[in-house]
Amino acid sequence: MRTRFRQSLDELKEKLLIMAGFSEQAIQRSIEAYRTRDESLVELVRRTESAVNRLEREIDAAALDLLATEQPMAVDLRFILSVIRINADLERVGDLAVNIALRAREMNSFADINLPVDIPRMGTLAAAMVRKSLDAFIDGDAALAESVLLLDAEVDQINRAAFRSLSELIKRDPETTPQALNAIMIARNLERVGDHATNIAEDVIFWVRGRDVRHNVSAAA
Amino acid sequence: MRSVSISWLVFSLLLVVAAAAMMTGMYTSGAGFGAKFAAFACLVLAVCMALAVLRWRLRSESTIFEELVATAGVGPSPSPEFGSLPRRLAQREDEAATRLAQTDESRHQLEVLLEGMQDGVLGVDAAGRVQWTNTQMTRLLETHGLGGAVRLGRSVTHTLRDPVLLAAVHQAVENGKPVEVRSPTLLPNRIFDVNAAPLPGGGAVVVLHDVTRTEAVERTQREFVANVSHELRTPLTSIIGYVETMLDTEPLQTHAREYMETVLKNATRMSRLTEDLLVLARVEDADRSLRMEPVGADELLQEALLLAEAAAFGEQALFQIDRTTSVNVLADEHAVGQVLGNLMENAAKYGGRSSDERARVVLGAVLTPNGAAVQFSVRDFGAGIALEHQERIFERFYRVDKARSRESGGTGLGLAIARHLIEEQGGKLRVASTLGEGSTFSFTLPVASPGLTAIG
Repeated sequence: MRTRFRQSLDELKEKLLIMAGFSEQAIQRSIEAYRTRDESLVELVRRTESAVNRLEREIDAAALDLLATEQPMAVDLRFILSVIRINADLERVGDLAVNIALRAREMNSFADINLPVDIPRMGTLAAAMVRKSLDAFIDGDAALAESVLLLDAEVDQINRAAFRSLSELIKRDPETTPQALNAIMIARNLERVGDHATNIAEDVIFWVRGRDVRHNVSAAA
Repeated sequence: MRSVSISWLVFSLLLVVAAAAMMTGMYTSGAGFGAKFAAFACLVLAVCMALAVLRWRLRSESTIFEELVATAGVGPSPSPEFGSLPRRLAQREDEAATRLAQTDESRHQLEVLLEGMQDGVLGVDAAGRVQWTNTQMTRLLETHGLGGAVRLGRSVTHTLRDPVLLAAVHQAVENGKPVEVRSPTLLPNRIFDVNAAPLPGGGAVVVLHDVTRTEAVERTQREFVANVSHELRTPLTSIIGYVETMLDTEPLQTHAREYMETVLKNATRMSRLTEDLLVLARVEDADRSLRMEPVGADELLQEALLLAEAAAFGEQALFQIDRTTSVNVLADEHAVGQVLGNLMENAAKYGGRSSDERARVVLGAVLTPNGAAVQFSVRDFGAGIALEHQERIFERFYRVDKARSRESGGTGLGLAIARHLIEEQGGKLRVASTLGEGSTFSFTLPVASPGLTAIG
């Protein structure tokens, strides 16, 4: 009986990681769509989104089933609750990837100008946060999860700097408004990807240590 | 023998018991010394007999055992039929040791090979768990995967989550078919060719080959060719235009006219070459998509035939349509027309037995035996192509006979373009040829499923 329960937990974890793969791929492609101005990538990101949505429903159903039929306790209960929350975060990451891709496509209809923001770097950082938080989830590594919480500050800071320099650019050269506005939106979406990675990391800490560290970074660090 | 000894044993034991009983009786009844001594002597005799029988029996059993050992050939006097056994056993042992050493050695070689590879390798079992890996794989993950690690004994998803890779592994493990895909999302900013091959005992080997550099070089090259061709075409158009006008309107001296005609001929050839280069650059650009629609196989052949007869090379050959099917194939009509036109032009140019003889070219379109595709063929009865050239003719600018190609005005790009166009439509362009008998170029296109109107 318990062995079957263990197996169900493993399967749930496997499903969540497959879904994570799709979300991570979507983020990577959306950044690539911005960098290369390749519109075919936008379509691919949108297609991935529907796969992500389907997986989200499947994982939720499987997790709720386990809660109802097995009535897990302590660490197992926390694990399933974390899966449900991480699932929602990953689905949002997929949505944000679509937003970024659509903004990137919109930018293609305007001149390719030099913007004072390094979107690819920010994207790599946000994607790395997601990846690290998932690695922490795979190994149940609370210490690694804590390191993700620290990275978030860096992404936030780049986002604020991007906002400042891009709004200055708009003031100085109103012609660049469409490009600059889209870049602001993309930076903001990436910052939110970072936030979701932080959520995932917090869920891992909750699962492993049974401690709620949300909205309280210093307690975790 | 045994039963005799047993009865002797029983007999002597009875004797012992009787003697003992007698003695007990005599001592209790107060018999005389003589009778007591006789009874005691009887008891001693009976015990001695019993011991003798026991000893003899034990001895006879050990003799049997010794005989057995001797017969098996292990003992001091081996019987002839088992005599070679020890030697053979020793020989087998030696062989086993040698084989073990060989296995160890080849295992070691494989390990060295695996470690020396520039590609990342993962061994996955039938349940999708990573069983082994090489150093390069770990290094790849450390360098680009931001400190990720290969997690042995656990599902692949615990190491890599790229959907393209997972799909390939799944297909190789579940369907037992090798898969080759390109993934630009495996690791950040890298492009990988993923090869997943099934293992005979279940599971699969996954090889990750980094093609980021190659891809970048190829892209630059394609863009360069496209740009240069475009730049070359513009001045050529005006050269050709002015020469043609001059030839048409200006009164020229004979040799001046000859020179102008040579200029026109070569400028036209150059123009064709740049045109082909542009087409090649376009077909090699993965972003371009073909318009795939259901179209009758026989229609494609008829259309190609009409165009060929109207073209300049139409004069050089006699075209016939052999067997055709009216089944609909899923194809880009324009692209197939281009391929057929190219194959027919080649057949017309090189398919004649001599340069003045008109070549005979036979076209065909038949359903493949499984009914899933239609095989198109263009056959000539010319000199044929030697085996060593057969694969290379599909390379860009490869010529079997340089002088002849120059004379015929070919650019050396036609078959490269044709192969690309067919592969993009999910088919394969092949050649079968025998020297002195002619060549057949053939390609397959998938049959359009009924009810399918168009695919983007």
